[in-house]
Amino acid sequence: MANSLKRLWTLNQDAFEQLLRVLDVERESAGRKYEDLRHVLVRFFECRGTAFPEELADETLDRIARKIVAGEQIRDVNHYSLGVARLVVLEAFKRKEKAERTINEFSRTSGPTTEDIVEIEKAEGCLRRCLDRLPRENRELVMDYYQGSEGGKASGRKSLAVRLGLTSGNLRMRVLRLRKNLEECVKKCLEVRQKSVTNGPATPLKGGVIDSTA
Amino acid sequence: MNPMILDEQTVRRYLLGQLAEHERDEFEERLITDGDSRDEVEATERDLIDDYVHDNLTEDERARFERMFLPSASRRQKITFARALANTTSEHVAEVPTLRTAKFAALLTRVRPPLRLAFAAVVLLVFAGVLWVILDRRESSVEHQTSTPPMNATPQNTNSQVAVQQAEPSPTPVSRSQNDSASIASFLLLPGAERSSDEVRAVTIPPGVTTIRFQLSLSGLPNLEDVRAELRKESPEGSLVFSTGTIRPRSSSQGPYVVLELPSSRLSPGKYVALLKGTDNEIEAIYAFSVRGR
Repeated sequence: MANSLKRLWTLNQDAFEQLLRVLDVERESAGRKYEDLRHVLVRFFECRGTAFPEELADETLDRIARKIVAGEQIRDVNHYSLGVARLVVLEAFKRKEKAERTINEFSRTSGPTTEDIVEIEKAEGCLRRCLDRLPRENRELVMDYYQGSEGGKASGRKSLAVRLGLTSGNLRMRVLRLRKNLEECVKKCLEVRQKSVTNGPATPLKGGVIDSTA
Repeated sequence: MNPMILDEQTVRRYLLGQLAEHERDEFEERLITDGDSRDEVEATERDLIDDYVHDNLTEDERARFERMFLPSASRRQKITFARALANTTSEHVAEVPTLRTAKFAALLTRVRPPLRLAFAAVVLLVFAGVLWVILDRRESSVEHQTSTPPMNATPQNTNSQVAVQQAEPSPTPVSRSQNDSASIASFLLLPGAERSSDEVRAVTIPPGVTTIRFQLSLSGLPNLEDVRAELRKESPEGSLVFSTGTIRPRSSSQGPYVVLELPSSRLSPGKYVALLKGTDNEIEAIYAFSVRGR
């Protein structure tokens, strides 16, 4: 994140606590709402085509926390955060030099490069493992849903929905959930492979929370 | 004004940056409050990525897609996944098991009936054996977990259900609420910056955890009254990630400590140091650790 924005103010514990209190009086629930809001903001910045959506989401949350510390009364934190996010995205686009360079760089690469192909092959290996871990009916559902040529795919999906007694919309959402799980599984698998290449095999301690071999 | 209809086509235009500004603003208002519309965006995003991967976009759409999607690392990961999925599903996956089953059946028909029975018995025995081993292991694992003695690591914790796990050396993962919906994970960090970078201990944040609580142990340090804690990237001179105001050490059966609590999302994979500073702003203790991907 070398070309990321330079923060003028960093979230501190007091501001974090105050932000949590605005989100919910109950601490646990506030923590979850914080993460939900952050997720929505990350998606917002991603959909606007920014290069570092997570960083911009944190910057947005920092600004909201700072306003709260300064005494601003926020009635609807979701809408308020959207307003702040729009400002942040405008500023991000103003910092053009780097961003445009990045965008142009990527715009030139239409289709996978050699490096991409290596990554895709690794992802394929992981995907097979992840698919194997799915219950058979879910695995078959994913394969059936994504198989076939474009023309055949649409009609195939319709008949698949009929066979399962679902509407096309419900089938789409069911497959989306499976796909998101598979994406997460492949991501983790690739991370583990990367770690074993750089650090040697990892040995998780009891509970798997910490690894002392790094 | 009529509320915007979030159909697949509108979402697609939004994702490709084709909506007019007022339409986009209205769309985003919906997005921030309406969970269903987020699902629609997620689904349409995957469809769009698949269309890109299968080369089913027009030239204009493709250019827009690359401008909107390629800058983000997480979206590039989704594209890689889509390519892997396309390659995997294009193979004759359905035929492979059928072929294998057919070969196996053909082999069985060549075997005499008494042998078939014996074979079936062996398969059953193996299956029962494997099942027994799995159940036995699960049982002993449960026994082991429940026999771990609990320790009150976070006296000020609002979550009273805390299971503690002890391990040496630092940083020790202290606790995670046993409740599945709980979202705080605690780690005990022991002071020490003398380690070489290779020896820095790694912390893995369990999935679903929203808040990380570091207990910075003051054991072995001179008596400290008021301190401030800072979390920095890489080194004591690294960029500031999080800080506390002035805090007072707490005490537990394991000795004095201070608490540094922050949103887990602030901890991306990498090396960190937690610094404890006295009232004179001098560093009193350094706690080095690294965070691994979740």
